[in-house]
Amino acid sequence: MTVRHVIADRRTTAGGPSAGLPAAAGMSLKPAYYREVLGLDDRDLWVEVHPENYMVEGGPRLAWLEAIRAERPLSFHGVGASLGGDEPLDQDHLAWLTALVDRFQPDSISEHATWSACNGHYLADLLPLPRTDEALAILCRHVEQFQEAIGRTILLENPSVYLPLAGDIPEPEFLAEAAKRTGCGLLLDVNNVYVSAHNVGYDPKRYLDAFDLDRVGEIHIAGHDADPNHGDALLIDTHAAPVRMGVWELLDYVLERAGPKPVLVERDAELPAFGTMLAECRAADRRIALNRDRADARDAQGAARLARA
Amino acid sequence: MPALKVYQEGMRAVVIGGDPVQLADHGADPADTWRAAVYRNTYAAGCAEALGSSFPAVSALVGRDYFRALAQAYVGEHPPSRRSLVGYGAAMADFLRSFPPVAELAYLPAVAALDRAWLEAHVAADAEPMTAEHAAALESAGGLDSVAVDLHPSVQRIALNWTVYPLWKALRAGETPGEEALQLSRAEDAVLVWRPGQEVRHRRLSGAEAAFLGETDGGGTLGEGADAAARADPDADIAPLFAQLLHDGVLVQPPQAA
Repeated sequence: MTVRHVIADRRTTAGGPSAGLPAAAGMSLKPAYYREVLGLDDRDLWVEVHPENYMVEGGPRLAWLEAIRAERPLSFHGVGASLGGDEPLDQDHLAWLTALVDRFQPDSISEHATWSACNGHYLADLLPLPRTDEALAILCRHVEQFQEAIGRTILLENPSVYLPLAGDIPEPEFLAEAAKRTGCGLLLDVNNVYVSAHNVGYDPKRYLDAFDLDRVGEIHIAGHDADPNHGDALLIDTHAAPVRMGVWELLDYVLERAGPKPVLVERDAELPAFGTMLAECRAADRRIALNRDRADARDAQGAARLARA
Repeated sequence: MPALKVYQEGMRAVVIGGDPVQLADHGADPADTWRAAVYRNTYAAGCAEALGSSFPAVSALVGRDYFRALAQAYVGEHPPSRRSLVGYGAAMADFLRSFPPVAELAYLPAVAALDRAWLEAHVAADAEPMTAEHAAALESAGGLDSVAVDLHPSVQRIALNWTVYPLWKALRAGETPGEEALQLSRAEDAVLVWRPGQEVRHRRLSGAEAAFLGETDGGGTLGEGADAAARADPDADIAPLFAQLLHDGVLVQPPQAA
């Protein structure tokens, strides 16, 4: 079997838009939560980490992740690849990531439709792309190279936007086209949609109506905050607060249309007590279940109609 | 519209502190460019936070706000290049040594060196330390003197020129430093920081121990290490010194004897 065959096999078993995460709530796994997550009696809860935080030789972080991974599904959510950057992918980063993927065999791997580095300088942020044909072509080339290097397909996440840039292609179309060209799936961050719609001035539901929900393998929800200087004029995707009501409502809107999906409650700062975090995950679970029941009921009605016909 | 590369170079300039007006070339409404401050703040805060978590004792000594300003200056001089901020800040001790605003806190680089050593030990490769049983087996198989051992991959030997170790130790433990720990003076000191299992440990290193570890780290045998220790301190008792290092899990068995 050639290397290409091996990669193709791994893709079909472990990657793809419907990646291996359960259609249940997931939690951002932070070191402060290791102790409570290990051995937790919650069968469906899955966890997500930024692999960049595990790009180390050894030590307790990796040991904790290994122990927790043995118990539950794991998602790698990368922040350092700079897939939209107009310079070659960072080989050192790819080598670290590939080693982590081989070791932990995550059920899903995701990255962002953004860029983070320029002239070898890592800017430690997910910076927006102008949605032009040129940027789309560069993004697609890098997604393909990235998938090839790690031997897996990925999910590509929509950005949070603070500053409107010129670009002819509407964002849902831009992302759908990237997915179509590269075979990757999409990660729909509902909080990013909420924040961007507010900041840039579009209707989040129309955005979601245009989004290719069939390709969505994971959903993110998170908290945001008003800008400390400009107030509500600018919402910041801080991941430092509970999920806001408007975001829960958009999540329902998506789940009603897309059916049950894995939903991550994303939190990176101002971490609450573990119990609070878990309660928020369970709230997400209830919404997934509610929409599953609705979808089942619709299916049952449809089947009954067919049987009568 | 300018090429993607031109936009990214413009945005990079904005992120590191440049004028956002140049983004107008890329379709950003000039009235909107104040929004680009979000990207600048995210970059600055992200780097400062990474440095703060890597240098908690330095941060505690100068205070959070001051540390943030100090971090900004560090980021300007040593911007991150690796795509992970874990381990960012390798040049901190040297930076502090030549950063005029902290010139009066001449002991600060020594504190930074200890913080850095803690982090290096924390993320170093895992390895099974050599035990007293291993050593006994080697001894009965033909003697220890000719055996070359390796230092555990987490071992950091820090030579200090200030008596900051008790202060640093208190700060790392989250304790209020006592009177004695606050009496800082210039003096040679050496500290061992390592991680035999999953927990980072640290202690003072005697001159004989430092010489012993320096020799074995350079590929020397245990016999040569013992000679070096004796040269450094003619009164040192080598057998208990070696037993203590074994007990602490500082050494690993050479590959050929494993």
